[in-house]
Amino acid sequence: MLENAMQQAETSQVTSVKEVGASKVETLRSAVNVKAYVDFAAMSKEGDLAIIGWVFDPEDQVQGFAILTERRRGVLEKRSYRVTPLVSGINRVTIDRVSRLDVAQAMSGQVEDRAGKHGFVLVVPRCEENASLAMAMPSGKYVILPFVPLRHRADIEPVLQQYWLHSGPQFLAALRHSLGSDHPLTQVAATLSGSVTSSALPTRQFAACDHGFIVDDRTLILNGWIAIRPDQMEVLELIGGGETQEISSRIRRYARPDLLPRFPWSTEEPLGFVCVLRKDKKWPQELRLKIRDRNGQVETIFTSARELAWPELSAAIGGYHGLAGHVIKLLSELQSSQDPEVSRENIGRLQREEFYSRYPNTPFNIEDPVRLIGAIDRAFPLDEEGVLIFGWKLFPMREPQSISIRGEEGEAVGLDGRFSPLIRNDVAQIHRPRFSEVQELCGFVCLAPMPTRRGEARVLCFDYGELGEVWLKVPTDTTNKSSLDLVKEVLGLVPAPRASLFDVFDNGLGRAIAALSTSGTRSSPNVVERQFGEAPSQPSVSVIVPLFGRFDFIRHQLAHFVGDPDFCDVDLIYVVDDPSITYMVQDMAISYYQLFELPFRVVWYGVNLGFAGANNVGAKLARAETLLLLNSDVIPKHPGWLGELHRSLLGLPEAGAVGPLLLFSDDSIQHAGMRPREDPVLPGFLLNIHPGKGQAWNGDQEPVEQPLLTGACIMLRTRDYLEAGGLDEGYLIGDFEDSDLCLALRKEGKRLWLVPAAALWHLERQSQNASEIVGSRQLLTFYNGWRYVKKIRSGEIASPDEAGG
Amino acid sequence: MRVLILSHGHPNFSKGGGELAAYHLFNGINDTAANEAWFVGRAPQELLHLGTPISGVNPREFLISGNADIHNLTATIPLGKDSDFAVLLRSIRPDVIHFHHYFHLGLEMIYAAKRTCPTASIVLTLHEYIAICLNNGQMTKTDGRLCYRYSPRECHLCYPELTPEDFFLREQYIKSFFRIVDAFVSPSCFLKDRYVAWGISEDKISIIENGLPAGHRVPLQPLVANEKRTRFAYFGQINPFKGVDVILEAFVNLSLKERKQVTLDLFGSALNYQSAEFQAKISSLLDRLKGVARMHGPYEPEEMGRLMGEVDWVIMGSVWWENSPLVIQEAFKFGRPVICPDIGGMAEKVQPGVGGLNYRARDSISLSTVVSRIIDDAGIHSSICESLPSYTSVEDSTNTHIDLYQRLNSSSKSL
Repeated sequence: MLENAMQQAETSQVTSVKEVGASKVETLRSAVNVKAYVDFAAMSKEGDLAIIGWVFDPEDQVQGFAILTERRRGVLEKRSYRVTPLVSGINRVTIDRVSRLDVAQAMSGQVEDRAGKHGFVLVVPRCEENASLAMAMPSGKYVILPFVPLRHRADIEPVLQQYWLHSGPQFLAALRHSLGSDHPLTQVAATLSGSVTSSALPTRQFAACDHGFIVDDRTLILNGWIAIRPDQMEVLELIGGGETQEISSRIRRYARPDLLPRFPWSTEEPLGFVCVLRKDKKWPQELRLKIRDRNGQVETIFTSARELAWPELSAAIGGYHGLAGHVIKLLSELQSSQDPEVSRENIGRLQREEFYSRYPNTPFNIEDPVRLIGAIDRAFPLDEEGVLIFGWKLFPMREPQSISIRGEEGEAVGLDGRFSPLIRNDVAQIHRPRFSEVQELCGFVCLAPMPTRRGEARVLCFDYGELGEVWLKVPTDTTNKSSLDLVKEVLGLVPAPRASLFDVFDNGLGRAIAALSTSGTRSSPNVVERQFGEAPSQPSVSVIVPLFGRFDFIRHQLAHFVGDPDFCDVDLIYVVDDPSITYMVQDMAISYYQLFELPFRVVWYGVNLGFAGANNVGAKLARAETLLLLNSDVIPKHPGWLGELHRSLLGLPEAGAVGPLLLFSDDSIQHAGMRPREDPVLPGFLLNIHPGKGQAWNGDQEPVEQPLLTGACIMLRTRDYLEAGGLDEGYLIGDFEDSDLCLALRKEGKRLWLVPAAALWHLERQSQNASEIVGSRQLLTFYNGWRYVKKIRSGEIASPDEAGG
Repeated sequence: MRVLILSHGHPNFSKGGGELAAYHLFNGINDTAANEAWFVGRAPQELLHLGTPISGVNPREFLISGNADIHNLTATIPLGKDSDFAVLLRSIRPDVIHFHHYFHLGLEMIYAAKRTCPTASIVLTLHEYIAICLNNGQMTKTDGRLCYRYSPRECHLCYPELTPEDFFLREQYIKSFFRIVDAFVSPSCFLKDRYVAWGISEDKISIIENGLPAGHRVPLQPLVANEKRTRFAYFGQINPFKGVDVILEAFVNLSLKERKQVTLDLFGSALNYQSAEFQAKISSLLDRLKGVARMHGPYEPEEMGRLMGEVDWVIMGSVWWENSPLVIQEAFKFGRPVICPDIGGMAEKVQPGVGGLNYRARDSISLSTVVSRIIDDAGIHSSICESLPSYTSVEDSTNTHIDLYQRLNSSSKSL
């Protein structure tokens, strides 16, 4: 490799910078018969990069190193890379070869060691922040070597120390050559050069036993490491108390990152081992393990096992590269195989203590170039329903065997199939330079079904088997916002592709929002009522008008109602669904009652219940047998409309509800009945459409049956309304409640009629504070739409497709 | 017959044409033998007593509080059955309640009046276009163009902060009260047509010109050698709506030779209330018309005959439609022809050669041409003066009103 680089430097002093497409860039996994690893990388704040690593390249494939810088351009953000070949001596770059006995030793089982110079040190002054290191391959492609540079002296020193014995002197020389003696990186290296001595050189030993524990006499736990590939191991015997036992099949291998410097080839081989062995009599303390590989090398290691009781175990095994987790797994397997000695209680204690010892240092985000790069951004504890988790994740080299949520008792609940992908362009943009396979859909939302209250400790556990577990902390200490604000916040975090939005709701998000929205005060509020004028003794219709935001509609409606003889026996109820306007509404009610002397009631309850809740409060107070739900921004066109609707409700066949023709202020149609429609852009959802909206009304005055009617002005029997449970308050803000009520009536065999002889103006959306709602409004609509479809599918309400209209 | 006249102002404190017309009618009715009238004029709070919205000036004249803004037109005083307003109505026991305008008073007062006096007829005199147009009721766009029709969408373009539905609501709210009105009075056909197009039934609007106190034609000043009938005067407020700048520009446009043959006298106040920009414009135009134009400042209505006696022509410059400008009636009363724009109520009262001459509204060049023609045509003044229309006296106007009241009361009794 380095010969090639030198030749290149001789033939051309100019390094040719070029640009290649994304398809030319691959990960190391795709390279055949080349192994490479960056052991150590450091970057100064000026951007000077220094690397220690190795390349095992028996077929001399690697042509040289290069720095790759990602570029994006165009609307489609087409990716390409600028390639700057690294040639020693050009632009103060230094590449030096280093003898790496450790690499040679580990790889010698495979092929003959050539020069033994597998290692390299590399210094690149003024390297770009997002640049990555790549090897040029004969195919013209580039293989990226992932690394995360260390930046602080406190981080750099201990790591560099591990590699000092083989690469240190050349590293220091390269730093001096490229960056000069005064450079901070050079100075760190220079300090180390005096302190590390050759007495720490690794021996040829290839196995060791780190711990032996005998718990309550009859359970033996052993752990250590064996630096042989599993397929190279022929015999593993446990010898003690005059017995010999073959245990190769009983050990569990696990990753020992601490051994990587000594056995650099082991990046993908777990060198550690642990076993839990049961015996129906007491284990001897003095034990040895005999290991023989296929080449006939034998290693015998001795251990003197410590005797302890179950409660002492977790303290003994905590903190050794996840040893406790592996022991717990093995013990759980024994428990499930009905071993009476390994009690649930003992395992529970271990799990709990393992959780407590690990939780405080568990991060919210992690950058592990092999297993997991990811973060948990936000979580919403939902009590019994579980916890809703938002985050993103990339698995750069390995996929986890399973993902679970863990609680304080160490209990775990698997989360397979519960992750819905979300779009995270920000994450993809940041990480693509180093991990070219990153997808935009790397975000996730997951409803983890482990009951979780605010502040309870939870972690997401990514189990990589022998590579151990990666834990991410779930932030359950959400601020105590109102339920609707929480729902809006949740919905703001859902950038899912429209085509899969319904599935995202179906896969837990919908249930989570339902749980969040009911977590607030849904108990029936304390309703206060004030009667203006004398209530009609036998009202024919109770008219319920919720008020939110704008309340000047009161005077507009009253000015029209007062001239209409139909209103002489009406039970008119204004429901204040907005605490901020309670007193202004009363002031207006007083002056306009004094003026018009038309009796009405004002009711208020100090909270905002939404359209459904406000109508439900009004309906409970209704005195008439017939209800009219009326939006405040509906103004009658002519007197007589109320009687027309009432006669129609009583007279039309099986009429369950009737609605008038609603017109915009320019007399075009706002509502002449509603129909359901599936939207190709939003598969799964059913939208309500208003046929003819904005068109001129050309129909005659005869009633027409409709599949659905709007709730802006709908008349029905009070009894039917209450039997249907009123408007469903599970919908948020105001969507689908009306069609839901219509379908509930239709489920009872009732029919819905449009009565065009009654015509009113509907100044749509004038009654809502549009600016406040517009942001999350559409997302709430998606939630409401999902809920609506679920109720139809479950048969709770009629299907809108069947008959009707 | 007992008639209560309500006005948006009292002429003692506010001398607009509407207030004056209402007050003349009040006096006119009381001058008849068979009828009695009461006058209630809206006044600013500082002229009223504390603790009651009503202050009696004398047994027949009252001031009333009220601050209905142009957008909502909503009454600001209590109107319930025990309110001071209801007490006043019950004590007067009117057969006719005649609202001269709804602005400042509030639309709800119409309902309260009908509710308190269910047998009384309700009459409403329409002045400018406040029900139709938020821009001071002038039916001009906020960018200055003339407006030809009410349309919530176009109104929204003038006032983007309000939605078309806001205008629609305002319209429907006003109409809900106008439904109670038994008869509308409009001093001009033009204004009637605009309100009919907006939605008031045509047969509910009677055209009755505002009356002026009796007066007679004032003789022209004798001419000396080479003099022409080329003395012009403007009467009214000095503000942009009245187009005083258009008039001055027309005189600037004249040739030097022409300018030496004309004079322009401006009578009126309120220049100091206008924008600095407008004040600067007027003063710069006056500078360029030294020796031609003179700014006299405020005048009293009583001076009108004497002031008109010293000039030959009355000029108007209004850039909006107007209704039935009092100054036209005054000019006819004192025997002076009027030069005015060719739009709205002005074009209705003055047609080319009948009562005066017209020019293209807002067009100072067109006005210059008219003035040049007057300089050149020595006979035009006398020929127009020969056929000058008569004015409507308070007595005539009052009698027409009383006829209307009687018609209304007999038709309601016959039901």
